[in-house]
Amino acid sequence: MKSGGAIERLVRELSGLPGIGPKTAQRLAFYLLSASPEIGHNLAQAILEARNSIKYCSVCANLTDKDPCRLCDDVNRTPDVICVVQDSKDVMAMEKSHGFRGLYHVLHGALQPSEGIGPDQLSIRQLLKRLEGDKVKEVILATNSNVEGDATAMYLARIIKPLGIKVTRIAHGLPVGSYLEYADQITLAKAMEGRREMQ
Amino acid sequence: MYLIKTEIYNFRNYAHELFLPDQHVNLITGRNAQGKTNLLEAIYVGTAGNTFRTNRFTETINRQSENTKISYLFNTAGGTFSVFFELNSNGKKLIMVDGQKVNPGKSLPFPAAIVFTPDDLDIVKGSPARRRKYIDFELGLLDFSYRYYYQQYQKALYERNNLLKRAKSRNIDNDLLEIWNHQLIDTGSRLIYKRLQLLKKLVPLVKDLFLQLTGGGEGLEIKYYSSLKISLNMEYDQISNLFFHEIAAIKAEECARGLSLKGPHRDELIFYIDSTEARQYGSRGQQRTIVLALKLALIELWKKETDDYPILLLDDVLQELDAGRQSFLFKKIQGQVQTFITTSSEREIKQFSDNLNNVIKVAGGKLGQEE
Ligand SMILES: Nc1ncnc2c1ncn2[C@@H]1O[C@H](COP(=O)(O)OP(=O)(O)OP(=O)(O)O)[C@@H](O)[C@H]1O
Ligand SMILES: [Mg+2]
Ligand SMILES: [Zn+2]
Repeated sequence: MKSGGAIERLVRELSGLPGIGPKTAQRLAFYLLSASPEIGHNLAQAILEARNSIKYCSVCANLTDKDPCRLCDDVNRTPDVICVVQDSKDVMAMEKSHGFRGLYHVLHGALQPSEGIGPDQLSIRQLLKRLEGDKVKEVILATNSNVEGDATAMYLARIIKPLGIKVTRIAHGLPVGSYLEYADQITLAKAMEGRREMQ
Repeated sequence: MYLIKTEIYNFRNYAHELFLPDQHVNLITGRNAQGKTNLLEAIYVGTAGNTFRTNRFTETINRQSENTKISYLFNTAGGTFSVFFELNSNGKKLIMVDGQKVNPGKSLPFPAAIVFTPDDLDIVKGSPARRRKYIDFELGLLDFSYRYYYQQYQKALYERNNLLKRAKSRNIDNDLLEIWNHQLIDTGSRLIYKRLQLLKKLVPLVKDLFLQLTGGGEGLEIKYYSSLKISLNMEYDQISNLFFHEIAAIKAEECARGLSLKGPHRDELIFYIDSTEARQYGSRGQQRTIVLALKLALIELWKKETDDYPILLLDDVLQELDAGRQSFLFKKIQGQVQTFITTSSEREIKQFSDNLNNVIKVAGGKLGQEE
């Protein structure tokens, strides 16, 4: 294979995806090239289309194809409770558990000095904006229950509590150090019920 | 607990071997570089899901193969259980206990083996980091949540150090520093508290064994030396209070140096024999006796805490002990602890042949039983 060639580039791009090692990337690449041309074209088009139409919701920062997103737009949801999560996939996990009918806010990460992630790199300012006025009565912090998630929750509690809003932390019934996306639906719903006010 | 059988595929220089050890003392002999230590390592993998020899676990995969597979059958007080272990060249591990997948990142739900190699002399002779390793990775195994807090503390420490490093070049964000202080104090105090609890149980056993080993001649003292002004009877709350005040007092220095200067990562154990520090002044024989006492104490504590004995793996250490210590060791393990002993100089252990239930000859990655 000539270095910098088209095949090699494809393998390189594929192996940059989460969960895909160099061997799998190679297998995928050769499959795409040997299978019927539509398969590759359709995939490429789907990626482009999604990429170009998906953006961040200007309210909750979740990934969406329309702004505001369907969740923010849903009149059946209680607007006075906001559940703060680290990632879009946490919203999906939470929705699957049917344990929550309020609104969400997606931080897109957690405080992590080693990666240069401070408050400005997260959607915190956007969250504070939503808390202006007195529409919101409670903020539920559902960041991961590991060191970074706890630090982020603590930071948020410190800046939100002075606004006179109730701040709760999702109960640690979750498997320690785990991510919301791995928690099963029952534990998530339980964690939501057992949330405690942060001091 | 003991190993009933293990079947090894493509591990180190073993292609495929079935090993049926004795429930008591197994002597593994053979010339150098034949696979004696490799066999101990394979047994250890089944108890810990990891190796005691290297940081690059994948180098244990046979050089001709893509992956290693080892299956084990163990017996415990509560019945038998099987372990299946697989390691791939990309570093991926699969561990199954009784057919159920377990998370290799977490501690395994069964007891580990205790390893004793000549390098363990460094627990006494080596750096403070080596002594912390003894606490964190040997003693800590006895407490299921220890490993968890250990990992959380390492993470908090790493993030806080990164924050402090940035503070060297610009002003530190005090809100953020307080948040990371909290994480450090919370996990660190738990770790110190757990260490003190474990040491409270271990130290009397070590001192007693040391007295027995030296015929009552010398007294051993073990002190937990902390970077915080703690006393041994403090509760978690008291430790975290102290931690809070002590790092508040050195804020300027930590920011200037970009480093966390206090906490369990700075603490260590100090051994004294008759009031002099064994690390510097102890003879080699004395140092070796301390390590033997530490290992035997761990076995006793294990039995007390879990109501079962761990497996003991002795790699090339028996021949380093004199006849008196060898027979002391055999007396302690006899009939109770399944033990695997490697040696390339069988002669030096022969005088204890009464104690050997099974002798295995290893040559070129092949196991052979000896009559
Ligand atoms: N991944 C591997 N694949 C194949 N062979 C390996 C692998 N790793 C180590 N070996 C071989 O295993 C041998 C060493 O085995 P081991 O460490 O068990 O020796 P030993 O019998 O304990 O010897 P000693 O008496 O010197 O301690 C060496 O020949 C080494 O090349
Ligand atoms: Mg060896
Ligand atoms: Zn939205």
